[in-house]
Amino acid sequence: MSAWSGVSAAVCAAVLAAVPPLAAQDPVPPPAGPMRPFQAPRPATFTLANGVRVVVVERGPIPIVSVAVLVEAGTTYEPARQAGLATLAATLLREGTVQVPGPELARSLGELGSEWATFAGLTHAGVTLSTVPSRLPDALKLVAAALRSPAFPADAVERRRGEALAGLEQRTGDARVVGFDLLTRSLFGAGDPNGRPLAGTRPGVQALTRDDVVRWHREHYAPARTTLVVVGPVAPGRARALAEAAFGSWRAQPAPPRPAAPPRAGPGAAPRVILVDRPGATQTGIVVGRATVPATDPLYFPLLVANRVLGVGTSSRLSRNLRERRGFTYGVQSYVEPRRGVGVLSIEGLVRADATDSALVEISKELRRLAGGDVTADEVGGAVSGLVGSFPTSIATVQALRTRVTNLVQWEAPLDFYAGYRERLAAVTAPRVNAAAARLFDPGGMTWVVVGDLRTIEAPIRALNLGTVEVWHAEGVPRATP
Amino acid sequence: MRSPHCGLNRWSRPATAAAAATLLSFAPATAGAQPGPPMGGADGLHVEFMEDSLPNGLRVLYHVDRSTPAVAVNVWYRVGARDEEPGRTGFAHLFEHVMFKGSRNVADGEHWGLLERAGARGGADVNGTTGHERTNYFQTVPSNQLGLALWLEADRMGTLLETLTQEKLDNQREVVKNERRQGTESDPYGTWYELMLARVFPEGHPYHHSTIGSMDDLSAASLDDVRRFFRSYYTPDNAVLAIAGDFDVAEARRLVARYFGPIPRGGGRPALPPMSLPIPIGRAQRMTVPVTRTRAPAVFAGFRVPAQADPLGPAAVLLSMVLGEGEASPLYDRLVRGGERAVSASAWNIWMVDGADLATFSATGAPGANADSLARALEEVIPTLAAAITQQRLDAVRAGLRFQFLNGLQSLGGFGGRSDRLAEGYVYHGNANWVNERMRGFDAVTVEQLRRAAGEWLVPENRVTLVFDPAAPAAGGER
Repeated sequence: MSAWSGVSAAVCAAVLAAVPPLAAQDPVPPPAGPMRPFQAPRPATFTLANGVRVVVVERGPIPIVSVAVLVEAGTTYEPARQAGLATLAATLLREGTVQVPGPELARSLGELGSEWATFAGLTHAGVTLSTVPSRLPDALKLVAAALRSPAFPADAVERRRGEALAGLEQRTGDARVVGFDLLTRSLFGAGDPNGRPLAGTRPGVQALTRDDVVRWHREHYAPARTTLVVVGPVAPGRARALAEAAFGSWRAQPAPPRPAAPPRAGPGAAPRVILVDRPGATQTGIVVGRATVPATDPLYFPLLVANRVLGVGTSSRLSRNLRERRGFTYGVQSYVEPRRGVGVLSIEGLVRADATDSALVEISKELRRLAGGDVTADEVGGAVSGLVGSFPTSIATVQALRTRVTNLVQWEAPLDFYAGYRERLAAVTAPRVNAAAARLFDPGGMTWVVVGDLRTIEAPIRALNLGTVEVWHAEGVPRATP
Repeated sequence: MRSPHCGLNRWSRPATAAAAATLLSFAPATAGAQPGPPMGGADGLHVEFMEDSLPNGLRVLYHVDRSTPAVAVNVWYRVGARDEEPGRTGFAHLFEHVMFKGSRNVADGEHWGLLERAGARGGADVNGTTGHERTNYFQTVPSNQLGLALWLEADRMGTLLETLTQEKLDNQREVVKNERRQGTESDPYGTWYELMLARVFPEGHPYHHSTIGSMDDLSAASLDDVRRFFRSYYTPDNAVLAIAGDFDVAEARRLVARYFGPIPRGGGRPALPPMSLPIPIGRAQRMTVPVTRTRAPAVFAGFRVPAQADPLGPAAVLLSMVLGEGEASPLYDRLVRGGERAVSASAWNIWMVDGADLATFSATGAPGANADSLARALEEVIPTLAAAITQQRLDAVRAGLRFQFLNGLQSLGGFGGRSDRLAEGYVYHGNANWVNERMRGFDAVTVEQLRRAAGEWLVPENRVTLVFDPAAPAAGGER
């Protein structure tokens, strides 16, 4: 501590003594004052002559800008036998162009103090970039060139393919990842892109060649299929100039027709239990879920509230029961993942192996209770005030806000979705929550994936009669019945 | 210097005027690309704050930014894993969990409930974390809920022990054991950190063990341990409270005095054992660890290097980054792009504060690759990397570090947000203004220094190699 602050502390002590301290701590928390006003961000949007759409959210004051370039080249467009192609092609954008090869690209972006990443989702693939505004023009040009004219060097294709295969193997290390992969596989089937991991499948990646990647890029990476999202202290006019400089000279190519949106979620399948063996596991991964509605559905907001009551945070019903009361787990959470045209609802946790069947019983009880329509107006009020209150903080960084906006692009939801977000949440009532819960949280409509040491957990799980029991391999293939 | 509040007079820079002004300022306009450091001499962001103390010794830091209607309340206690008694590893962290189980006026479970209902997301906005040197508790709430956040922190600082029960302790002991299983089981190499610490730092040194601790020690923790720990360390004079965001300073000061003022000062925390350690360690060590659930080997090579409090601390951090951070690093170039065909390779430091730090160089092989060859390749390549230390690379790494730091400061709360950095500077360096001075030490590091440092620190007699080998026979037992 510096001498200066020491002096200051002595002065303060005298002044603060004038504030009379209470003899004891106040027994109740202070009432909250009125909420301060908050203006939800509204994106501006325009399209360049070559078809590149630009979405801008101008926002300060911190001098950081975050950008995403989204191309309609996600896994939805790859054939099942080439599962992994969209992701491999996106990863290979890191390997640079003929003029600026991968190592130089990494070096140059590093010198600009920029962070960047490649990604592939269901509908879109591309690049994200964060940097200070003064470095954005140079950084965006580098990234745009890598996306428009990748060199796909043969040795790099081989190296990244090896990395992808290693990554697929690593995925099987986390019981929750295995559980979620199998949940979506069983809900949608391997023929639907929604039923496959974004990283692809081992046979798919093994079969990929440089020619596949080159053809994929030629057919899908086109200006008319591209959206540039810019979030930060950048005015729309300046964003247009930046977009023109980075993408304006990109010539249009004929884009192949888009496949139809995946089928909507049907009525819940008969309850199904999928077991995966992990010999010696001291924890069991539990993933319970079903297909649900997309973000554009009227049920979406009541669903968010019901989901929060059930399993979001540490004061949810599931956390209070399985963690705070019984100590079965470090954490159990319930997630709503909207996608284009559909959604996935999943309850996920790792529980102590010897508590596996007890944990399943408690999850089932909580689901039955919720689907039975017992959510009170007070619970709805708490969940809604929590969701409404946390929204500004949840988009406080440019990256978090950019993710929200790119999600809208990927879900094909209106770009002003978040402008009325808090108001739509505030309008949710207990009857609407209970109606959504009755439709979407019935344990009988769930698929139950359990990943653990079957030697000890299989018999107790079968005894629970949660549904038809199947045993699968970790990579998504049902194991032959003995 | 003008200041409307007596006592709140340690402005972080003398030129600042009224407290009503936003206490967040920026470098000159960034429009138009200029050559030179990406964020200007002042790092592009100056976090202004005020600082005072209560009579009971609680230090309070205030930073106002009214651009988002949210406020972060962040309490750092000077206690961490390094303060644990023998046979009680993991206790500081277990205690952190108990802090969320209620106090005199807060029922069990209510702490999370009140905050989540108020609009703080559990995990992201509300959390506690335990490090080697400190434990922190933070929440970012809508700005109209500042009183609630302060009241909750004060209630547990003042009255935790009044409602402590064996049942609460047992419950969180189980939760923490699950947390430990999750860390060591979901990651096939999840034990690397505790194995490394135990070898880089000698028996009895405060950094010898990890924060999560051992299963046996967690089982042994008693209610008396909790009481003793609370009385020794959870006192206002061993804590700093940082408040950042959308609030009125006079109102916040009134609330702080009202809630924290009545909490009595502590009896002085126990002294730390000596922290300093020689470099090098003295002999090369290597250990093979069996791996299950993956066919991919991984190797971790750890070195003892200067800690943050040491004048060479910034050089130690930059050395690892220059050699091994990202795909532009020489380590990645040699092991992944080069002939070794490793799947990943990187280097990083823990940022230990006192005595010595741990620098780790790591590589993962492809499934089925030979673990010993990978270990040999990593060990052999490290000393040769010093040749790749150039001014250009050093500048790029510094630009990246500056950006990472600035990027974190977007947030108000924990995990590198503004309240976090203010408290960190005060606790680790006795200087809350460290948030604005932090890059200076890094800017002073030279290529020559790094080359010399590599020759002194990255030597076999200072190295611990852990070889995670899927081909090695597995041993039983719960880790």
